[in-house]
Amino acid sequence: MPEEVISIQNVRRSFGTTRVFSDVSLALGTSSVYGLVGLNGAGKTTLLRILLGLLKPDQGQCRVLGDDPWRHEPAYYRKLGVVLEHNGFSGNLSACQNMEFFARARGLDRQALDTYLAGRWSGVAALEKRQKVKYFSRGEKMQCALCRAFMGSPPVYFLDEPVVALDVKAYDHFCGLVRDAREGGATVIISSHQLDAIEDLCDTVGILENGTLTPLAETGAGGTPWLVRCENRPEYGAAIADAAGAKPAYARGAWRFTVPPGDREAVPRLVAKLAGMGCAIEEVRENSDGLRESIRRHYGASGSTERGGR
Amino acid sequence: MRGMLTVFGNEWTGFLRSDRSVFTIYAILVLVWSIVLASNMNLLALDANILWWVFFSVVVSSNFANTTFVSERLTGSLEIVLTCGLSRMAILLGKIAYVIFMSVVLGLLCYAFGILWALIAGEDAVLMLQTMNLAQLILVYLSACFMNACCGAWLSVHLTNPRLSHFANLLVLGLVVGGHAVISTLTPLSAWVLPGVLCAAGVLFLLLAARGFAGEKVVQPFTV
Repeated sequence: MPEEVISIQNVRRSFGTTRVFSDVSLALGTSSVYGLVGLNGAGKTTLLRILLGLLKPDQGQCRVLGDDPWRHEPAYYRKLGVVLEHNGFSGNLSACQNMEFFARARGLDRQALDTYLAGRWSGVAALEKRQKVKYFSRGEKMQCALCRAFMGSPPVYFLDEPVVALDVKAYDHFCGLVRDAREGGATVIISSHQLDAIEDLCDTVGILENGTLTPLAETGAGGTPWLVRCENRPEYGAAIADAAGAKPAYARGAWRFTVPPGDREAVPRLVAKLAGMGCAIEEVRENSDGLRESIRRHYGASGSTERGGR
Repeated sequence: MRGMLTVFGNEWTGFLRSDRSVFTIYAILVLVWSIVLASNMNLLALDANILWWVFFSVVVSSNFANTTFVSERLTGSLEIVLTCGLSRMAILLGKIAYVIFMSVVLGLLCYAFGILWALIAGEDAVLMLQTMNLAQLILVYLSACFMNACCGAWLSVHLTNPRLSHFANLLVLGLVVGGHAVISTLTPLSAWVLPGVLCAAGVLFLLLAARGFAGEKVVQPFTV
């Protein structure tokens, strides 16, 4: 693993007599996007709050970029991009006025803010409105919160439910920001019930349950999962591997594989190839329920009941 | 200092862009209170006049402390502000400075209108200004505002029910001023004792609020 950016070791935390974490450990390096999933009340937000220094672990150690979050150093916070449940904006101010405040708090001057807004957020209506933020829709407020989080390109991001209420365009924009941040070496933790987003963006996923954090899946670093329902023949597997550029797996009557991001021709190419081989294809579709299935299987195995989800 | 000014500026800009109804309410408050004060603007009622100012300070300061500290904690906005890159002390001091500033602005408006009403009612302006101990009045009012703002910040961290913050603030001020009144009946006290006690109490509440802001209780949600 590259240089360790986030290190959580044996963290325990209780609220009164309720134990939220009994033993949580996690290590993340640079250029990684980590998905944090779990049922409602599992402790996802609590874990992010500990990483933000808003809560103190009862036991164990947390280090982010070598800093102890509980020291509440302003320099530490300037290295973080944060989205939490509440947007934290001054409702009487416009989006732009709010951004000015947060830019000043981060030590950015007006010119840096203007450059950032013009470069990454031009054409986003929410940021150009002169209206007070309190009259914004939920999605618009979330766009502003994302704009604030990515301001100054910090090296670490803690994003709690960052895609709630985003429209298609805003969601794509957010995905672009996260991918760019990862390419720039940033470490991102996304806590969400929106499994599509987790699957689209995260390299690895962990599930918080019964006070522990269990690695759940490697999602394929942003690739799109697909399935082709047809016979299980080795030559079909080889054809899929050739067309998609990744080794497929045959399970429950279908070949499952990941198409790299941006390769729009991979699936048509594959279908043509299989058809040319005389393969009787019953179904071709995006296998977007991969992570969901994994989570269901996980809860099935652990005896819990899934209440979260899309 | 820069962080404190950033927080102060944000609060002030937010107030300036408040809805019209907010300004109307404050205008009514100032006008009504200035009439009450105008009726006491003479030498004989100096002590009573000062107590009216102290009472006015708690009405104004606790209200601004409520919107600045309590509502932010209640809505969860404070979590974002605490993680935005400013020190917690700068955030606390910036907000306290804003509460004091707003209380002083409204106090000045109230004072100006009070004089206007007294003049309209036929008071002798020169005699009135000569007989009032302005320095004492200003000092008591400022120290009361300081104590109320710091007390409001402290209460915002520790009260589980935000609806009680106004009353709790009033109770604390009442205890300080009442204690001073009781002691002054037993033994003559200098005119500077009351502002001194208010300032000392303010410093104590500031330290307690700073301790609360450094802990995790400041972001725990209220139980309403």
